[in-house]
Amino acid sequence: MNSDFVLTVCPFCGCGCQFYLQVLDNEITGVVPCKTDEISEGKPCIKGRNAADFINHPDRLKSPLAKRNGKFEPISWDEALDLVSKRLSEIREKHGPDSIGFLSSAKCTNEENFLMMKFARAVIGTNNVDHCARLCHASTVLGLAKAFGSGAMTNSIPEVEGADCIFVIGSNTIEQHPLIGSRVLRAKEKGAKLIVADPRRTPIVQFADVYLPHKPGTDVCLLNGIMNLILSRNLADKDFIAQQTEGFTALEKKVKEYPPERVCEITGVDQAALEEAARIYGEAERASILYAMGITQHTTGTDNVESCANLAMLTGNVGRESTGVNPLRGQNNVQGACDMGALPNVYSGYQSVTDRTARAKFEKAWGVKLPDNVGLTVTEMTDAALTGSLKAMYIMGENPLLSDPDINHVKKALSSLDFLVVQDIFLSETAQFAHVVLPGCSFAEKEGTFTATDRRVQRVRKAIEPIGDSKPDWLIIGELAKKMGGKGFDYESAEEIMKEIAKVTPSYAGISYDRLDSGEVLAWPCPSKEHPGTKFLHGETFARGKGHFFAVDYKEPAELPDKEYPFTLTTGRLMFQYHTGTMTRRVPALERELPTGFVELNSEDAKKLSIAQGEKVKVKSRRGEIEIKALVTDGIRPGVVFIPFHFVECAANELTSRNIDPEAKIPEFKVCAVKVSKGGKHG
Amino acid sequence: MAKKETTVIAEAEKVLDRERIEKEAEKALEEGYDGIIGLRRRWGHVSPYLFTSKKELKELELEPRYNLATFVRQIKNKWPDKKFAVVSRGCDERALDKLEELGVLSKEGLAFIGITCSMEQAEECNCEKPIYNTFDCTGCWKCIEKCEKDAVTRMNVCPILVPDEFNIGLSHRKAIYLTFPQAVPKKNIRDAEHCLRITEKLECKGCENACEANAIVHDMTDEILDIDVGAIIVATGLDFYDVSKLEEYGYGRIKNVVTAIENERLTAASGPTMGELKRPSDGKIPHNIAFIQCVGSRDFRYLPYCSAVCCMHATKEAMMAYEHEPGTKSTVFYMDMRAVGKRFQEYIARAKDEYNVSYVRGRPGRIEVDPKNDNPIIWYEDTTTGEIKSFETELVVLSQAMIPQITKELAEILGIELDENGFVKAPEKMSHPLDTTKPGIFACGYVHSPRDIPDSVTQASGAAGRVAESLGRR
Repeated sequence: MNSDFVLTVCPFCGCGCQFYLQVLDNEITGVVPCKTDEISEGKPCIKGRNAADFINHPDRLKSPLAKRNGKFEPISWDEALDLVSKRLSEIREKHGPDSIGFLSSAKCTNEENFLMMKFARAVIGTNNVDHCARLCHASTVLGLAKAFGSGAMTNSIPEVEGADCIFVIGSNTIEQHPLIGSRVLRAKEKGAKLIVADPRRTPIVQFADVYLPHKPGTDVCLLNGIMNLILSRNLADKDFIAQQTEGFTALEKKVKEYPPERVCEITGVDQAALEEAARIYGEAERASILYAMGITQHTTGTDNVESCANLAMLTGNVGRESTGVNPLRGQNNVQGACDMGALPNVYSGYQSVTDRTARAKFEKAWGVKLPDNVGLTVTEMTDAALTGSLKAMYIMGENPLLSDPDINHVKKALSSLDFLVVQDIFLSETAQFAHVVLPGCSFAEKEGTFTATDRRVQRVRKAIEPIGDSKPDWLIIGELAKKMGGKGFDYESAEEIMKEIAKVTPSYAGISYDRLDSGEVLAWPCPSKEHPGTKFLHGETFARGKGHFFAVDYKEPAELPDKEYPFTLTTGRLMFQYHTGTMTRRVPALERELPTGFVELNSEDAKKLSIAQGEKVKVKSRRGEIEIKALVTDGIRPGVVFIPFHFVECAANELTSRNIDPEAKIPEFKVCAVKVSKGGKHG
Repeated sequence: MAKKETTVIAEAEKVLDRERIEKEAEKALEEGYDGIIGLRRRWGHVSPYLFTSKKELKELELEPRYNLATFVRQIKNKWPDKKFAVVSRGCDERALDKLEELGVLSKEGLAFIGITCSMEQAEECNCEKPIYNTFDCTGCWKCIEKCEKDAVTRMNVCPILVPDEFNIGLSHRKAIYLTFPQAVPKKNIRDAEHCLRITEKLECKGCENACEANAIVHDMTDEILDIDVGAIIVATGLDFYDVSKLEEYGYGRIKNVVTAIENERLTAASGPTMGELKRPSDGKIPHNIAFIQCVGSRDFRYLPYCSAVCCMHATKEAMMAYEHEPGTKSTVFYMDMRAVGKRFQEYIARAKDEYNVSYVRGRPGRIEVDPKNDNPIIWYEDTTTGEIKSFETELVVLSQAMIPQITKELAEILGIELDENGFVKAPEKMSHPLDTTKPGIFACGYVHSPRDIPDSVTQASGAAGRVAESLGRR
């Protein structure tokens, strides 16, 4: 008679809702909300509520697979690990360690990400390790680190409720971070003002006091325009600027170049609305900025992030409760994967690989010599695979073949690799290109921690035994590392890995399983065993000392619409599906809500092209073409179209461009030029 | 008492309650119960839990409220032979009763350790009000999958459920709905009283998203139009008399006593049971049905007049029950059969000969219930023999009295008079039977006097004729 309710963390977005997995005789019967959880308050969203349904899906990978004669055959773990270790060793011998690339996973635990980067750096000897944060918040990690000294959400989720003014820019908060969205609405109920800037009329817009439907890619201009008005109306916080910041003179000069008339012309927003937004934000006692992919996924992503930081500093809205610059992170553990150093330039805790002291510290801890060059990013790895300098890749829990821009390019890159290992729970689109597939475990079958978007570290607990022959990802990496002669991989449990993380990562130093299991809410930085965690950052001073203003100029997106491709395509996600759908498309309740994709098209544009509601249309860019159902709506700007990227049958990323932000290397998912025409096959 | 004192006392009571419950739970384990179903605090949070050792009981908690009934059902059905004690609230026990009634759980082997809910908890739960709160609904639809009785309809078009007026509240409709299946024109209407969007409770777009014809207009409001007319015909029809006043028949108290109109909807193909005559207590199809006539009519305690159509519709419904389930036995308790009309008496004869319908002359005095099977037992005097008898049946249909559907207010607005029973007064019965007390206003149908559909149609033609006559004269 075995019955249990195991407290764990939702595997979807970065809100980090805790819920129970109900287990009866080693079988998960469902998700039971946790009524005392601070974030979900017993009401997780539809995805969380259905998060148990893919765990036992018949498609789960149950044994290692090797591709022989173009077909996958099940093999034993010994064979699989031997094969991977042999091939990786050969390639390293022949082409050097930097010919191998690693993609870690924002879906996996902190422990697994730490181990992955340790494996890449200490065993293989390369800094070529990255993960999908490159595609979502690379610009945040960089931009906020430059401005404030720490690239994470400044305040915590519950604080949103206490703001007087919430400025949502480029975030579909209600659909993508439902539990943060509900806090925005509560703040609103208490009298807060809500400003929303988004080219698309997402659900949160209907609650906005001011709505700014700016053209995709004009964020810097819009933010400079708001700052211009704040300055000219004398709403800036002069004391804060004088005491806490630097670089203000340059900013002031730059912002003067953006008078409202010019801004409205470039961004296409209404001047009265712009003035109202500046007044509300400028006058607010506690103003909070929430942003997401609409800010980051641009060739000017870092500029956009810096502009958000500028606006908050200009009005003294940093370092206090219910204020701040709050990037909403899209994955359950994308914050943690960054924290753990699954990035090509830093070890865990953002300790730079080029910093001699940091490197020496890790070399001492791991007892090996570590490479000192910055490694390749996700986007660079694909290019390197095509040019032939990258020979092998090890991908854990990622599906670049649907998530990365310009899929056709990715396809070519992956098929030109000499050796590809994919470790996943399902045979994803990417896994089908692999030479060896290793079956990992879902969140329900392993121990570990996830770090939510507001830096809250929470425990993931094992509810059932691994499905089939699958193994927890940390165990697989550990065994492989040992097979390849790696030292210091003898972990008995995930907890041991966390102990090592705490030892080498100052911001996680005080975090332990014991503390988390006793119910403590710990958000990093948590530098010691006694430290209670940090609710909001930059309280007394900025992490870097003084906050830095960056005078940023508006630059046009890389690919603008022209005669041939007259529409601007922007991509994103929807409420009922999650990313590449590997999990959610296997949950009947979610698939039923949203079985396939669509292209949102303004009704005026639809009329001009005589496209009817629901008609199949062709959407074409310089890189690819898809057939997709039209959704004619007034909820999007004329000239702009929107396609969700979840669906392989009408994959938005066949169309997107590989243009990247020069600093953060994040691709511009939010702007590319496309053509829309009638005449899908069934049109 | 000051608020603070109340809180202190409530806290103290909670501690005592917890101690008592822990003791009872320990005792249950000692007495051989296999587990205690309750709430446990672990990892700083509280969840349902199956306790199997005394040590674990130290972590027993009483709040917050979780839906334990679901969990109890899973555990009980997984291990039917084991015994469990449930630390339960009143609502949990009611839920378990209901599950047992539905036949998806047996309460055998379950013992209950009751929690006294605190005032705060009761307030938080808002016990009296409907459980389903559309504002908190996240749309995960788990409730639909879990609900055995299909009581929760898929709600993504419209999240509102309102008792369906046409099915006399036996089923639910949405806030956007077709008034009844044969409605002309066949178009959905929106319920301005309940629609979340119209009442501005929520920016709901369910129907708007589903409508392929873009026919949803949110900002349309009721309009009041002034129309000049030369004549008015009042044809507002009938309503049903509230028969719960006749306590001896137990309507509203005895589950398997229904009214004729409810029975009518239960046999209709478009009704709540898709035409299967299922009795309310257990959803079984009854094969023995009793009809009681003149319920509220021809009774000087209630309505003195004869409702005129019940003898015929009771016979029709009895015949329909037989057609649905051949072999069904129907018994009609009557005062005297009023089969007035062409071929009406022959219809009754056919019911007796071909449809297994018996007619018993007698006015039942009371109805009792057999607690074993929820069957109603009718006590009556058979006036042909003078004996007092009882009659057990599976379903009782009350042929309720009917009343004219016209309010005093409407009559006042129209400036017409009503008679002592609320029908429209027709002073010139012989010469102008459809004229009311006000020239230019006419009446027909049931609001004029008790009558059936064919008579009403005939009268309607007459009324139209009177209108033509009076307007033509000008």
